[in-house]
Amino acid sequence: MWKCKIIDLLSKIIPVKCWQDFLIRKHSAGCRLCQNWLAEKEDIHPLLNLEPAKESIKDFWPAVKSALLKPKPQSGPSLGNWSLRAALFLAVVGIGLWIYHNQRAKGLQDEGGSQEKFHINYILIDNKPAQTYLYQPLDSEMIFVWAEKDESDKNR
Amino acid sequence: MRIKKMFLLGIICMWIGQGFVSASSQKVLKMRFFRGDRLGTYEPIKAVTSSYLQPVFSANFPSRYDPVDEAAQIKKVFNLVAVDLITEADFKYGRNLGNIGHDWRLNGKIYSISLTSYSGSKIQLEVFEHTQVETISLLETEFTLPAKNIAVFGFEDLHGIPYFLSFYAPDEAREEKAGGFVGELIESGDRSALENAVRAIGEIKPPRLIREVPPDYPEIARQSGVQGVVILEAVTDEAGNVAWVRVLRSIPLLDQAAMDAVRQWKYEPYIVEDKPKGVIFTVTVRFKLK
Repeated sequence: MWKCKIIDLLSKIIPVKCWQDFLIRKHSAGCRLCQNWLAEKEDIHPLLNLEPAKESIKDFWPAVKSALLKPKPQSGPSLGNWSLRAALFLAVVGIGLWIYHNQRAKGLQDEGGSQEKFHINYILIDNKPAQTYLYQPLDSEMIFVWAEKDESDKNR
Repeated sequence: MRIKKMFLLGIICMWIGQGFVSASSQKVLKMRFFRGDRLGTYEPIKAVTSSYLQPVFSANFPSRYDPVDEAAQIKKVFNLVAVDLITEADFKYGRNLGNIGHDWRLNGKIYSISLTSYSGSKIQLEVFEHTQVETISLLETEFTLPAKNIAVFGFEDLHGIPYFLSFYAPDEAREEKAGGFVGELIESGDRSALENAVRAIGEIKPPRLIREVPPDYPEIARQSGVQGVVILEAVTDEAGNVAWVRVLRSIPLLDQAAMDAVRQWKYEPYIVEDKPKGVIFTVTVRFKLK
């Protein structure tokens, strides 16, 4: 698909007509998407019976013809249906957001809940380990930490 | 091909949506800094000039994190004669706190704290005292603070004076419901001074106080026995005069007296590239009955 867009862009930029033609024909000869697209155009049909102009793209029009003749799948609702696509897209976004919210709510619950506890990894004073005292009064959520220089360090 | 595209688009949309949800869910880390007095002999705290704080309005504070109750608890636990609130700050953040700092000037000395948190409720804390020649690390710690707890860290400065830092990171959604009425903004001065002023954060230190006029204790407050701390947000002009103030922590009977006093104070002008600039910072004014 992106190749088709690049060729389209190049063909608009290139100023020489014969080069534009060559570029488009050369690409279309090998591109299945472009061939299918051309095959759907009514204006193209008369050209299908013409002989190819150049040797290098001799398979081009037969390829378009075969794409046109190929039976198209006749089914009911398909992914090509826009409303179905939109519904699918909304469902994907909805499920994603639901999962995200559930995870977030669980995370908040864990943070605020009783699972997480107050915890100290280290305490330093003047870059040296400190003498530390911890106290939590009964029936209180306040935790008191007193840190002071190590006695042996004080005497130095 | 189209299914793949749709799938990719869905993932991008979810990612953007998640960003919006995260941005809208702000957390708050509340910090308070107290000074303790063991014998009642320390030099009284008059005014504290600190770096710009996120506005904290006293009406919004849940009662279980009241500074008066907290000071009383600290006083009791550590058997102190007095405990005074020096400064407080609300650090608002999204998913992670990142790295933030807060500085304050107290009786001619500069203190600063640095807070770092990159994963949930684990916080790294550093407290410094800055002297003219060096910076001393008074405390360095790493701790995990659940939303239900209030952690109070006590330590001494270079002169043996006890200080206390308290932290509380409430589950904001719950607190907002429990919170009360947010009072009207009380301000005084020329609001346009805010336009060209810079906030005292990080490299920009709170300005040095040159002239201090003590607040007049309102008679009605004295008779009613009202005392405590009023916190103001102040903006200096280019000459260092206080051009505008507003109340962050209010004591209704004392707000006006605090604002009137601070409007008369003079600070050292802040110079950027040889040009003076106004500074936005926070001032703590103390009212204590004798």
